[in-house]
Amino acid sequence: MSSDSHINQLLEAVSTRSCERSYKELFILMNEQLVNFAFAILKSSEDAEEVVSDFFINLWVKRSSIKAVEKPRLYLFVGVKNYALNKLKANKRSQPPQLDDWEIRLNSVFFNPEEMAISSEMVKRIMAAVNQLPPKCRVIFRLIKEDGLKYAEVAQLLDVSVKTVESQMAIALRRIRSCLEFKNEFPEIHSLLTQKK
Amino acid sequence: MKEEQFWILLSKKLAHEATGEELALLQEFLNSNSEWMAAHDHLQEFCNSRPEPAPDYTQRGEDAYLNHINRLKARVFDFETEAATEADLPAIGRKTRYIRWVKLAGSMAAACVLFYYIFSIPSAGEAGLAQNELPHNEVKVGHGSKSKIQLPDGTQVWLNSGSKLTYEGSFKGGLREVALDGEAYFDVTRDPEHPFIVHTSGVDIKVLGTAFNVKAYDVDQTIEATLIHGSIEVVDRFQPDAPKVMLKPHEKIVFNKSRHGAAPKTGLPVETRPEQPVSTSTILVTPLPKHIADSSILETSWLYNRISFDDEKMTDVAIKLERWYDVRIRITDDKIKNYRISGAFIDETIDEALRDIQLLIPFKYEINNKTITINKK
Repeated sequence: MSSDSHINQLLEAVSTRSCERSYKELFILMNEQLVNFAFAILKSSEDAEEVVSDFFINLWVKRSSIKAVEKPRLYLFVGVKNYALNKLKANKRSQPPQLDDWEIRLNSVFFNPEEMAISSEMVKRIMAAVNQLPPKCRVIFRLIKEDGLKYAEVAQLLDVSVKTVESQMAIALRRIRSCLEFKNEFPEIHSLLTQKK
Repeated sequence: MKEEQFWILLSKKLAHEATGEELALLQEFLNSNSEWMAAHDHLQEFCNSRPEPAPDYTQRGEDAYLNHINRLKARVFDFETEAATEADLPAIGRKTRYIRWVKLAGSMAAACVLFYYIFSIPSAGEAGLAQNELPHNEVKVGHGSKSKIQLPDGTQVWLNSGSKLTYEGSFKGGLREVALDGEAYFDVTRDPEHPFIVHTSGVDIKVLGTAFNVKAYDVDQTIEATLIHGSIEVVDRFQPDAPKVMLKPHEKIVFNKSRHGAAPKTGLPVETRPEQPVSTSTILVTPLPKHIADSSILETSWLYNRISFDDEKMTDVAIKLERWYDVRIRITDDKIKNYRISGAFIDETIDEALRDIQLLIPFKYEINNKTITINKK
């Protein structure tokens, strides 16, 4: 995962030097995460891609006015969130959805089965468990685990308290833990699997 | 309550959000409860493992970026043009760390210069390239045959019957430009720093890395470009200032040359030609039918040894057949000339093909050596 300072460097290169290569790197680096986030709000892949593209177009147009950004990752996510909410309004689709209605795709709950010496059966169980997390919990888990935002940033982005972020993360971990119990239930098999190393 | 606190502390630690105090408190919990220690170890292992990037991850990013750039360019005009203007002012003394960037800009500026040079020569791209001092390659494919070549940059080109492709020997200096009279399918090697440009008698097609088909016989009234994947931009040779047309995958652009009449051959300087607005009748972008396999797309069917027609006039069909079978076809009857037919041939001989068409249209034909005459029945 790229560091905040790297994103800042790219933003700065775009802002001060109109560096197209940095612009491209930034786009490719962040596009997938941002599209996924926009999708949570818009529930349409096409709209999500369009919104992120629009946001990046505006980023280019207004590049000279980008000042040093303290939380570059949050800056990008908040920007995309605003574009997505505007898009919703433009589509005249009722009210913006409540956080509980957000639909997040966890495509890369990450772990390497070989490294962890777990079976594909367990991978399935963990994936299922994570995907059954309540929506709010899943959004928060994804933003922190996969998109690399900080607790405080997620709280600001989603308009919730840091306490909520803390408790939702705890819920997510507990669920995952319950799937990992396998190791305790079948210690013999587990030790056989790990001996390979 | 204590357990709840444990989970919060643990999730904080794993997200690198825990303070020193919290870490110490967590450690106390762990020491006092071996069950929690196991949970800690498992989850730490889980959170530290990284996903393997999907194999097509880079490709997906590049494709998304190309689409984005198309949308950007449609609205913003200072993209990719600034590089050239800055390179024009090296005296300002940019720092050395920009040197690579300036080099890129330089090559782009050079491309612009050559581009303009070719442009301002009235007798089309072929002549323009021929007057260049560098050695040139010319690949010609006769009627009735096809050919595949690989260009120095790795780009693959399939040439259809009766086509000619001209290009500079080695693509030196990263310039990737070819001139086409005829029909060809390009699978262009990706190289974002060096655009690939196809010059035809009516339009120039600029590419970053993509696969597309161009039908641009000098003698034909229209030029067609069909994009299979990637992204291309099409520029009217005679109105370089007119808005560029961007194509998305599975779109086709048809450019009608008739507006320019015999302009390319008259030798008039480009500048003196009166300005004409781009009207929809001269440039037409149409989507291909959706959900269709690449092998059954009409425009590229020739690659798969098929010759196909979709509601085309017999006169146009005759031209295609002439190229495909290396024959001359003369239609004597005006009514037959205006019939429109659809269909495809794969392995048929010209004789079989004509007999098939006879099933649709009543006519008689004579084959005399390589000349075919089609008469009213």
